[in-house]
Amino acid sequence: METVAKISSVTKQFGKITALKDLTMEVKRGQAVALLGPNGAGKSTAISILQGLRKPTSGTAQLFGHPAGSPQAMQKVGVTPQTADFPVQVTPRELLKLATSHFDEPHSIDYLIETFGLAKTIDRRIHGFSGGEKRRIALALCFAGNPDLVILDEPTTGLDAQSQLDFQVIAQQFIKNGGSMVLTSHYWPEIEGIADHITMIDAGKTVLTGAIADIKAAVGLSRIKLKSPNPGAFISANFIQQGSHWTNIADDSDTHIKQLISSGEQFSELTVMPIGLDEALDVYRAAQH
Amino acid sequence: MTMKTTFAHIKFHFIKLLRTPAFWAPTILFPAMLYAFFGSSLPPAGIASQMAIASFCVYAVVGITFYQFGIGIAQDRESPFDSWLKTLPNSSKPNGIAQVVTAITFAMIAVGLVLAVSTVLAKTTLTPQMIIGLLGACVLIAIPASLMGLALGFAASGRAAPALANLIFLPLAFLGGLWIPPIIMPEVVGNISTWTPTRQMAEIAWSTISGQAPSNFTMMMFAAYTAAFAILVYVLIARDKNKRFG
Repeated sequence: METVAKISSVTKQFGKITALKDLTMEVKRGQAVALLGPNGAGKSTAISILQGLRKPTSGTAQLFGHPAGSPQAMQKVGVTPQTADFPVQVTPRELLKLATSHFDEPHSIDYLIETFGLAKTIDRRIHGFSGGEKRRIALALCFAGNPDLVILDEPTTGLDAQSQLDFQVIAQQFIKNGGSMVLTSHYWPEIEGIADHITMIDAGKTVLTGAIADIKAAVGLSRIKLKSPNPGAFISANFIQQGSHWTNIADDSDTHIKQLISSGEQFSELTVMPIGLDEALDVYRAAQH
Repeated sequence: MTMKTTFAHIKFHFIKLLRTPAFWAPTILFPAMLYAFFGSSLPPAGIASQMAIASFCVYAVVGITFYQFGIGIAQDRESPFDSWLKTLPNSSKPNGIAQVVTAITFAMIAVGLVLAVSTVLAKTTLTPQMIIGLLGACVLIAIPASLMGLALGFAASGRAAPALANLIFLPLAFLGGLWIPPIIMPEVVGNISTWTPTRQMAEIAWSTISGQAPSNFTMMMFAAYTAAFAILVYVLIARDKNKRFG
């Protein structure tokens, strides 16, 4: 599979502060890689190096075999503005026209209006737009050039729940059509809904990288959730109460359920599902240490 | 860089500025208005009246280029939108060209208004030769004035730039003899005036009316100021680039 983005042994220093230390990551065609890590881990620095806005102190960053930030590289790349803060005198249509003028084969304005739900706002001046409306423009600008790779820094911050789900569908479709993505987000459902790989960084270093499915499979834990009006000793001993429900994380859910049934406890609304990525990562990293 | 991209940036800059009347109305109208207050009372047929036209044309060009680059760039530097523009392929040159084109266009509109007011209100006219010479001088003057603006834009914060621009430009306009002729300034002020960049700009503009070439001192000072501003801008851009994108 073709490598579309590659950061090789990148170190970035700001004076005496080392923001990135020997960071390496790779994105292949058709992959959606979530860049994870706590605040101050170096995610934004890594993103800005990929965007060509910052230069590494050492190491290299390449997109499609060209230096990050070069016109040849950026012709195939879409970027969301860091914050959706646009000149208020102009309309979204005027912004999109400016953006598309830089690309050889951009999307049509009509396509962008329809895909990102801009019909109501497209010819209104941005002054007075809500955060969500501005965020939709930011996403449309990112995809305006018909990119092969998009770099999304907190793409759905400020969007309502439905718009977040709408964006997940757009992103999934983009990946399905062979596009690639680098994404940062604080919303775990969004990360799991879009990304198939993760690169976790902490203190500027890569601490974990791999496919989400592989990490979850390696952890192998499931969440058992049930409702019990009058839990007996078995349920209350192994499960944690969450409202009217009881939950437990188990490595062997089949055995657990068999024990539940044989114990004669009364329960309903039983669900068994893999644990979330955030929990899986905690377990995975704890096991590594 | 394509023509399509450059035109898109020029159009975008014009739209932004035209929809900000609080910016363009005072900067375009002020020079003509001040000429109407100070210059139009001079005898219409005299050289003093024609010199006043040249002074207010310089005021228009320096004011617009200095304010547009000074305040515009200082505010752009802090804007996430400006950073995003840099991620578009080949955006820096078209964006820069668009800023220059809009500044020169607005400056020329302001110069045109001064000429129109002088003809209509003061009945003072310039010969075609004087007008051509004056327009040429305005283009030349725009170079150090733009560099001065760029220096401010890359040195000051977006919030401080408007106040600093006023603090720098208004005294320089007065000291340079753009509002009142240096000959009627108090001696001390007149001595200071001789050394200001705006005075050299004004001398060059006045020479197109008087028909006498500017003095060597004026041309040397003009060149020295232009070079000094250019070096300052170069240093400040490098500092800014390192700070924001290094």
